[in-house]
Amino acid sequence: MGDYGAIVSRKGFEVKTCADRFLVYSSAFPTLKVFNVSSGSTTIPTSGTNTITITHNLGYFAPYLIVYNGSTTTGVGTSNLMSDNDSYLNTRQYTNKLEILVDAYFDQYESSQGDTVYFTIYLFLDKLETYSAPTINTGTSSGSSSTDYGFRVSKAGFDVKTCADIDCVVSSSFFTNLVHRKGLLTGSSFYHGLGYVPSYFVYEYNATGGYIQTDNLALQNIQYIDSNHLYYDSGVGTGDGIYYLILKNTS
Amino acid sequence: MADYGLRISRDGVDVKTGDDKDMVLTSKYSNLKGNLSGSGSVSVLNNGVTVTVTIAHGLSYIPMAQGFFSENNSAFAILPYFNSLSGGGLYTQYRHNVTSDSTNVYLKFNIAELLGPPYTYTVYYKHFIFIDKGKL
Amino acid sequence: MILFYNKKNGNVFATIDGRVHDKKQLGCYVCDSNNKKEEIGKFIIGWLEGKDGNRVEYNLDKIKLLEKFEDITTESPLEYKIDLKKGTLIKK
Repeated sequence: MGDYGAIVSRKGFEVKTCADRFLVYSSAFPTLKVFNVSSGSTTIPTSGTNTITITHNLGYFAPYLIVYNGSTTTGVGTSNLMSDNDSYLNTRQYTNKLEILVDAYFDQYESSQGDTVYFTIYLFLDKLETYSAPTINTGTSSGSSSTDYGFRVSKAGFDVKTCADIDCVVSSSFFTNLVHRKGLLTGSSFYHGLGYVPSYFVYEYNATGGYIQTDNLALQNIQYIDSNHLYYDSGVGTGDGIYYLILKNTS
Repeated sequence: MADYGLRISRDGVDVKTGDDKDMVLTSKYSNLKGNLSGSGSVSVLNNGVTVTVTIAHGLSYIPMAQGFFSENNSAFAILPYFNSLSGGGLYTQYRHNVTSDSTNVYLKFNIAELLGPPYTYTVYYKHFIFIDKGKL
Repeated sequence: MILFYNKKNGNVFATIDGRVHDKKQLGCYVCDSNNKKEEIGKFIIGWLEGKDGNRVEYNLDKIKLLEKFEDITTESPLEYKIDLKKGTLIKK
């Protein structure tokens, strides 16, 4: 029996035959949904830790991305993803709240104690649980279509015909994050089977603390991905596993 | 007042009663919208001097951006990457990260091997730049 | 796909993915410490789309090669360079 639903391909790709990773949208694959985007600030203390808390009450671990937007000293013209200018951001994601911890050594070579520091926080709605999307089309991309017409959904309160692209929920003009696999990896590897290196999110689980974090992600071989597997070394870091979210996207 | 919009559920989930998180797509929650993605390689000397890949994004505001890197074009890790490793008589410090301003996204790679001879690494990278803002 | 190469030696060092690019994307570029902005050239395989929706083809004789780059193979655009005399894409 044939599959049913809706698919939208990226510009220039034949919608009926292109591989899954060239789709903007498919009813077969969840998209990574943004629950909330917020901004926050605090000061770099002379001792101890200042904490920004975003209470989300989702009831489960959810993916997140935090951008450090700068400080009083550096200005806000340049932003860093998940790091200051020297090291990882110190973050804790619980099932009901997300914390950003700023201690006296935050951005120590570029900013100063007493500086106000600024952040933009993306919190996603999707639950970090075991999930496996189907694989429908793979392999050689086929058909190069030059005709195109599209699909556009605006955010609440925005006119879909006139709003800016940034005010769309989804648009066939832009690729989206289609979810391929997600779950908790406690063993040494997980077979994602895409055959190419995908985009992914990963967070280390701290069972004792009851949170997930990104501080340890560079510890030797704690995590890396190749064209078929995600790898994890439980001998470093907390040893409690890594939550992963693997997307169909590649570059 | 009744809600309206677009809602598409996952296989096996009732679209009328399912949780928002189990929707494939819902007009209630936005998606990160990808603008540019790409890849490349760059030579990085192990002298602790930062090598910067600059990607002009054309958006006129600071965008959300993600990056990944590899030293063999096979196994990739997420940026940022700050680490110090000892092995083979070498002490290697990595300081790689992703920054962006209203003109460019920067992938910065810094490798320092203070005990070893000069060596040039080839660093392979992938990037995803979204039209969604990295600074509100 | 937009391939960025060094105009001094033809070396392809970076790409921006996709098949249909608009003017805004065409204004984007990639450079690094070894490939300065004034030294880089662009080689496009695919279409450029104007505001009116009209599309102009670029190097579509290389569309099969583009499909290989997009495919799950070991073929990578970084293994190619531009023949500076002929302006064509060749393997390094």
